[in-house]
Amino acid sequence: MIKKRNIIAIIITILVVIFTNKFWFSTKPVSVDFDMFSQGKCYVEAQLNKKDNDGFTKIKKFGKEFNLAYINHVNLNINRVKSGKRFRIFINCMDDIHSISIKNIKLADKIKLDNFKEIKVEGAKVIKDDSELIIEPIDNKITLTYTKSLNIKPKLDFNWELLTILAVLVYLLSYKLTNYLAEFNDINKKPRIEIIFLTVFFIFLFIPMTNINKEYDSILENRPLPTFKPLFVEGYGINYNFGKDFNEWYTDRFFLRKFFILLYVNLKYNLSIKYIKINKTFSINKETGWMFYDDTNTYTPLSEKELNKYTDNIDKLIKYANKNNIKLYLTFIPKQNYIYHDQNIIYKNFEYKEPVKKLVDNVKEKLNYDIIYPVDEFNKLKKEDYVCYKTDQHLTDSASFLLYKIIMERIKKDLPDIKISDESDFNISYSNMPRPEHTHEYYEGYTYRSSMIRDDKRLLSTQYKFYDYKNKDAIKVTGAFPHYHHSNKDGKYKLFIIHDSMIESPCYIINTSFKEIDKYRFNSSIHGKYEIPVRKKALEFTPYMPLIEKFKPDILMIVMNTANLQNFGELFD
Amino acid sequence: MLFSSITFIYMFLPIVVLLYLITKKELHNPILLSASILFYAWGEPKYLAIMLLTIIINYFGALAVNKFQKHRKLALILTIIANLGFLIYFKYFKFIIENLNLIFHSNISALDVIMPIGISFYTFQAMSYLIDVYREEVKPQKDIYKLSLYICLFPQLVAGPIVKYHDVFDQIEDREVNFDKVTIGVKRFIIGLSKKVLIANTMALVVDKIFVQDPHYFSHTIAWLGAVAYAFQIYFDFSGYSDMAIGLGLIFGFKFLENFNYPFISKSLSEYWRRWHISLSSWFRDYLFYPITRAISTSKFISNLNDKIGRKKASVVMLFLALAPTWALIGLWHGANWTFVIHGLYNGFLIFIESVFKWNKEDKTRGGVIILCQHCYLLLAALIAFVIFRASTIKYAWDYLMNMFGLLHLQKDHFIYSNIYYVDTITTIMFIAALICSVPLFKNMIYVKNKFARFSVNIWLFILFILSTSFIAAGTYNPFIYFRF
Repeated sequence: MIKKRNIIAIIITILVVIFTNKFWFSTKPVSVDFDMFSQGKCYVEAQLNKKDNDGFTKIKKFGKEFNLAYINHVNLNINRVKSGKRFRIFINCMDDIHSISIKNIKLADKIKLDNFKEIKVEGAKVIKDDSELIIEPIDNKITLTYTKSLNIKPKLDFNWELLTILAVLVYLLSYKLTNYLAEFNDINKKPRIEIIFLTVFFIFLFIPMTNINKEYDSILENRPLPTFKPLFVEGYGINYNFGKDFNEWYTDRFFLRKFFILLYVNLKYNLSIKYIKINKTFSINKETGWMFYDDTNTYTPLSEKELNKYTDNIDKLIKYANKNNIKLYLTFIPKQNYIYHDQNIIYKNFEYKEPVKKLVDNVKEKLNYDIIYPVDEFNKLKKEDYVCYKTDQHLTDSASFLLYKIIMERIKKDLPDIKISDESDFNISYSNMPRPEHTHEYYEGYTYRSSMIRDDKRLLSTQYKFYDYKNKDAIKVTGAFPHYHHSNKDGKYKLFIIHDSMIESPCYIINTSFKEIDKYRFNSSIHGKYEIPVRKKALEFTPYMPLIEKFKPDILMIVMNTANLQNFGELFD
Repeated sequence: MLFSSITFIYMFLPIVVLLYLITKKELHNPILLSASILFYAWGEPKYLAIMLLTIIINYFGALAVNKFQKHRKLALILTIIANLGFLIYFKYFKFIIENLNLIFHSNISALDVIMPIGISFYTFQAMSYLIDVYREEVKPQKDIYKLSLYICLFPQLVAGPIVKYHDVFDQIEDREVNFDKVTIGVKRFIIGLSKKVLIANTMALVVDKIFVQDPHYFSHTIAWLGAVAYAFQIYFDFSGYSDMAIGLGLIFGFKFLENFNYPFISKSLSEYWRRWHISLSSWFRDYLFYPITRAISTSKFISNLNDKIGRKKASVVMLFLALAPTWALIGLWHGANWTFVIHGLYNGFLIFIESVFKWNKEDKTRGGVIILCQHCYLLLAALIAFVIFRASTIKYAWDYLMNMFGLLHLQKDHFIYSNIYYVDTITTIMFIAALICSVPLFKNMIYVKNKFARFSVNIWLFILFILSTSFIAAGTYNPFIYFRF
């Protein structure tokens, strides 16, 4: 008679074999090959949609970075494809690319896509689509969708040797284990509840180390993840910080980390009634839907030493601009926390004093220079419309338009013939999703996303007003983060902007008045892979000088959120 | 390394336990010793040298005490001086220099020394071994590996309990690891982890928000809230760590003595200190209070006093003379600040008063109202002690206490935060949990025999473990808003 433990072992074996099917029964990767000619770096991704529609919601994809100056053949292998009905290529241009030529597209080594007229192009202008597809990027993100239905079935890869080894070993191991536990129970008369409890507990302890996250960055947290630093570093000897380094590396990368964080956030969010603060970082007024990212630096007043240093630095900037015959405009944008502090339940009674005001007054008094600081105008706008998004700390299009007007009126005093767009030059639309970023795409907002709250439509029910330039064909935006180039054939002057994220949205309105805008985000990733130009500190000005002198702008603008004020101290360090 | 860290729970612990349980008994001590050294070196490897030196000094010190019978007292004193030398240098040197500067208006610059983690605990353990050898309660340990294991055993290395050598020396030689010990050990560990992560850490958020402010800038209610939250924070933090240590000890076959026994249900401060950080108070009792009492009782001063004022009154003086230095040192053990000394003296003084008036004696004839008053007295006395303990300066503690009792002129214009800033829903839930868990309602829940109850307890423990992990993981969630890809 078969023993119970034997049946349990067989069941465990079957379950393990089923769960590990991808190792012994898998599909071979679907290869995507094509020739691609251009200059510069771009990220190319091939996507196969399981369903026969344009939604591309059930996709398998694979992408990598290519430097097309050296490589002209793209080969991408998409894994775990069960069936592919629709195909598309996604291209993210990382350099300033003027045209791309694509030909000889071949899928799964047999399907040739040579009718380029069937390819729908988004984010680029089609120049030629007969023997090859030549496109001219409008946006840095381009999508090429093959509009016809396909039927790609990958080859099967059945590894019977591995299946045999796996089944036998798992059976032997699980039999031994169940046998051991059964014997253990018989011998020691221990309750099964406790045996199961201990077994589950100890197995659970091993799970987080089974699958370490190997990503370079955390998209969700908007930061690079720590890299593994070994105990012995060649040439340096022992790493005495190994323990701390390891802790950082492991706690940011262990398996199920996201699950545990989500559990915490959603538990806290759902249990809270009026107000919730997540991890010292986000505070949410659950009744009104206002979400705040709490950085405390704006509550710290400027010391006399800092004030003098910042003023000196601004003086140096003015002198540099004058020497190069460039008009200089400095703009500080008050942050969401300041404008809407009455919505932040915990700081309601807080007498909020922005240190910027002190700097603005000091610069006016000592240098007779006017910094643009539109706090009064924003407070006025706040009564009629939204200045910032509820779920993102950046400016709405209404505030962006107001900021544009304020900046341009100031510039007009120096350059009277500069064109200032009017509200009638824009199409007005409404959406409940913010559009705060350089990508100019609608999404839930950064604060919402990184708070990790899931699917609370109440927080996303506010309607915002959006401005889209009517003559948008005149404007072309090229480049890749953190350096973009806006050109407008109707403009006259050249503008060089050093900025943080606050100007991303207004820039799509500012670009209607300038012939060219060369913009550099200074808080991108200092010492990281997105750093342009290379510099020691975020707002170190010297590395920007050759770029400014090469571009020869009429106007130099430094625009920043008041939360980044401390960067002014490092301009000329 | 901290017990409540992902690296410890999900890397160090499973690997060490696995190695320990699958290997032969002969390898258990070497594995534990290696794991303990790795555990200690993980955070600050350089300070491992101090701990190793402590081990070597005490090893030879105890051998000397045993060997040189004529000079055993000298050997003891020299070794204790060496032990205390490290402790004073790393923990109190800066404090001493600052006070000397204040007294003599000098300007001696104190070295900014970082205190090695756990030095107060392992130094006291080492001294316990030495004194036990001196008293001939135990034989000196000839195997330095075993002595090392006693001093740096990782479950109690960082935050106690202070295990006395005479309590564990036989377990270091030989101990049994069995299913029951491992099961209870795991459960104690989960309970300790939950106390620390879910309750203590949540209370800490409340406490930090309050104690960072000037006492003039928050209401009386908030002041009381801060004191209560701090009492819960420190109790659940410390007892949670002790639970984890005891649990880990059990997993490795050790049986450590309990360190906390529901102190908030006490009726007097004397009883409270028999239930709070038992290993520390009993250490001071055994190695300081009793010897001082013995020394005083046999001194000429007391015999003269006996003759002058009578035996009863002389014994009160004797008690005072023994309690004062003991409690000043207990206070100082907690940290290098006058607030800790005041905290110790305050406790010592109340215990002295209780002893003199015999409030600390059990009296079954006392009625319910009196017992209730005793509980209220204890809670009030303990809360005041906690405020002194938490305050950064004596002035701050005074102002804070004045605020609590409505004697401070508050600057209401400066009340910045609304009440919801201090207590949200999760905090409220944790306050209720803290209240329930600080009384022995569920004392024996992990020992229940009933099958269904056992099953429910296991499910609850597992949920608590998952929740604790999620709270720890959430602490590592660190989004950076002003950085974009």
